[in-house]
Amino acid sequence: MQGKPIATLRSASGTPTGRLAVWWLIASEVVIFGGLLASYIMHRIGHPDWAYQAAFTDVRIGGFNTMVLLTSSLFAVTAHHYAEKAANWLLATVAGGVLFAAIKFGIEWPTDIREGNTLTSHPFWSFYYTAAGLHACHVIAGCAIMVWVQNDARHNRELQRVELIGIYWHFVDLVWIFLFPLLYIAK
Amino acid sequence: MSQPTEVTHGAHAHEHAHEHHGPQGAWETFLHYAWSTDHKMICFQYLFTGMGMALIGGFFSYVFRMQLAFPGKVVPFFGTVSPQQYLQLVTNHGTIMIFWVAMPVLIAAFGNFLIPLMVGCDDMVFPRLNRLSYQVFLLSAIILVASFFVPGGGFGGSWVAYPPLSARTDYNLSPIGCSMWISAVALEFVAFLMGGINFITTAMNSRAPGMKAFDVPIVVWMIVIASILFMCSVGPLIAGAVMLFMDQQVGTGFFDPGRGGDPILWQHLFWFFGHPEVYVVLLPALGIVAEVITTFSRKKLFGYRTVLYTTIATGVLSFFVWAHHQFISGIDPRMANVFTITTVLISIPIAELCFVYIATMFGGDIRFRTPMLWALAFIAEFLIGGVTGIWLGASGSDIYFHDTYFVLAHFHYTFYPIAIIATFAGVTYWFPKMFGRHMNERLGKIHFWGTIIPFNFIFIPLFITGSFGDHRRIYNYNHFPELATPFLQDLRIMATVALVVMLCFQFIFLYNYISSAFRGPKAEKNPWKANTLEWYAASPPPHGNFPVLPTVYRGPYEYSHPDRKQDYWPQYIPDDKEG
Amino acid sequence: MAHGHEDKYWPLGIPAHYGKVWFTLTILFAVSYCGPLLIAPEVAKVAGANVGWVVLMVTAFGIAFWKASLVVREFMHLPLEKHFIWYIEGVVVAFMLLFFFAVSPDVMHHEGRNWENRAAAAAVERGMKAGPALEAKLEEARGEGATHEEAPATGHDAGAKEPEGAH
Repeated sequence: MQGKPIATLRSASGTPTGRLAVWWLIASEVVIFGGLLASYIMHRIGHPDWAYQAAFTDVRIGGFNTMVLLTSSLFAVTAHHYAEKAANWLLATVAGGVLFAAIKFGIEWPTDIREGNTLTSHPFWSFYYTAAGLHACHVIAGCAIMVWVQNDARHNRELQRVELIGIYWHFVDLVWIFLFPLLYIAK
Repeated sequence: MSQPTEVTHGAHAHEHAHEHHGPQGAWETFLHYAWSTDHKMICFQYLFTGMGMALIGGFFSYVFRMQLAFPGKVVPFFGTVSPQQYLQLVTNHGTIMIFWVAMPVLIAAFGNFLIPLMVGCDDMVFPRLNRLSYQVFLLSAIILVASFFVPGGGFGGSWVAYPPLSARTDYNLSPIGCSMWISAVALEFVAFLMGGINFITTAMNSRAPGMKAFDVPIVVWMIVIASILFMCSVGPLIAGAVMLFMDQQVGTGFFDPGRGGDPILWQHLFWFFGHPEVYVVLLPALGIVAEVITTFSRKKLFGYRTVLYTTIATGVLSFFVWAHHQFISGIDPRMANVFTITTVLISIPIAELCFVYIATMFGGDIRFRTPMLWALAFIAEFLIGGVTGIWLGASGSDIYFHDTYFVLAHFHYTFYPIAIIATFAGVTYWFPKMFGRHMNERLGKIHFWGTIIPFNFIFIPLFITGSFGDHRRIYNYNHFPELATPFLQDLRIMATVALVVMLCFQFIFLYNYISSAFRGPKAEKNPWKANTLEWYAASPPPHGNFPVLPTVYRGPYEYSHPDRKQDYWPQYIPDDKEG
Repeated sequence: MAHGHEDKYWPLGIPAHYGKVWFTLTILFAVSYCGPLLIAPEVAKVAGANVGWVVLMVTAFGIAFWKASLVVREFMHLPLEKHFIWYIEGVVVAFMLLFFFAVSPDVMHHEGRNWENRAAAAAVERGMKAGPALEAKLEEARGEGATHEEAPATGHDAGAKEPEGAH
């Protein structure tokens, strides 16, 4: 397998290349979620009647999932703290992400759908499923990458990536910190 | 961090690749090129894909202009053009030219080729991400072209895809094509987000030792700033594309006011990106022109920092002008007031850049080689485009001009210099470096005049027809009595004939390009006697680019320096050495 | 990785500093959960609907910003990065605010100078009429009483005329 180009190892800006790239990635994700959420907020404020639909979101499940993600973020930053033992802490983070997705896809959404609140039943729910779904895709992608990174870390390779995937994971948590009040609390 | 005499993988005769240069089957050869992570190979992948898509987009323009000049007649190599086909042709012409020609060629191809070479390193910082971004891009191109062949054909709702036409498949009559179109666009965005992260990180981090921020060639800055503009503006539209796709296929009502959505939201999502997008493609073009005019005037760039700061100011300001595309589409008139002011304001930094370029050439020792001709044409034609934009940026006059051919002629006088003229400038300028051979100068000049003169004969008539009231996206003006006059129809025919002539001259370029790549006279390392680091590498550069990575001692435009006998002073030569 | 914090650990090996941040986040989450459910209605009963609404917004969103700043500072270590990274993230957030404030006059409001969005206004009407039926459906589905606050808590009185905060 060919080695890294010397380009990757240089650091004229003072920040290592991988971390610099992750912060740029975060910036581009801020704009994607920002656009979607700004659109949602505009509609939600302009349509006070959506509150009746929003009442159907289950704040208990949303709240539990919030704690799941916050705790998994704790595990991610702990992984960063431990360079060598990072692998298992990353797996703990993945477990949190998987639990989040399992609750959402296994309990919450089927309940919503059974109650008649589907993607097309009302624009509130269109936004709800789109925003939460886009977020969930990022959760799943993050879990997949973390599995890959923890495998390398276990063999003492590419340890800097533990921090990098952590930054991404904290961003995913950040999005949920805003989604939770928007979708579950502000009714 | 990095020592001055880093030895690259190239110096070790990159075993991985060279091992296979023995008896190699066709498949291995194909894989070697198609699966490469070398930034130069990825440049060619983007470049040739973009050129191929340009042939398709150009063919579409030929077909619909023939329909406009001779309505209802059979178009050679196509057949008769139905109204729906007409809209599909103009929609995909615009979409292809912006997303699958201008962006891949100007940003991805030139960015990939130039950035590592000009900052003096051996490759992009993430070579495999680079390869992945091309593959996603290729997939997007395939999906778009495939959309022409599905039942219902390609999307015909104009490249701006306003709902409800774009959201309701019972309106746009291309139920599969419309979703393939939006998916292709969204994938292209993802590809360029990935590529952009690569370019920005490489330019920020991998500079050669001694290369301070103001020693970076302007074209690298321009591509990086363009990537940043793209990254900051495309997010809302990606969200919008997801919403539009769902409206089309799943039955949501994001843009349906009767169900609580809003079509104006799409307009804002689109144009919040759409306006910075034009600067995303303009900046690399300006960068290419800067490199060419400094080299061929043997003169320093008139104000490096001026150019840089002006460009950054333009980039920031470009986020505050977008609603000038929506003056009569239903936005609040008070918003129109604000956007008129910002739009007219943004013409100032761009005009200033043009003046700086002219000042760069003033008093220089100008050589009128083919690249320089293209660069000069860029400045002249773009100025026309920019000036005509003032009428459109003022909301009052835009009430009349919006959706007429005046707008179309304006943006072709800006886009064509960007996507075509600057591309030819860059292609002819860096051809010796890319292929190690020279293009034929005489054919180059014939191609130049055969492109520029007809180009003006296409679009000046369209300014006139637009002023007389020709609306866009009309497939047959015979249906409008006040527009079906011989005077206007003659202008439309003139535009079409000029287009056909111009397209024919492109065969000269194709012949020149292909034959010179294989059989042109061999080029040395630095045939134009330029200063920037790419001319230090061999022509063409090997894997790893430089046997020894260069160190930088001065800025990129030290031409005709009084302390020096020769009229150029490359960045990589230490101060005390001659030549 | 050098940390400026003492090397104390919680059970399981979690660094105490991060554990404390997690604990703070949990408390904040609890406040943001209970605020709208328990506190805001009580305040509304005492001080009126508008004050109740303010309490709800502060507990829900004010706390969200507080939690976000904790995550950014303590988990993502943004303050430790070079300043230009702060500016990158700050600029994109600013662009999102620009997008919201520039587009909301068109999308959030249903009328303006010389225009009105009748379809949207009609949709709001229909939605409000159908509201009580939905509340009943929710009670059925969830068993106990639904949410405590009046459903259109975000200013039924404020909705149609004056622009909401953002303008």
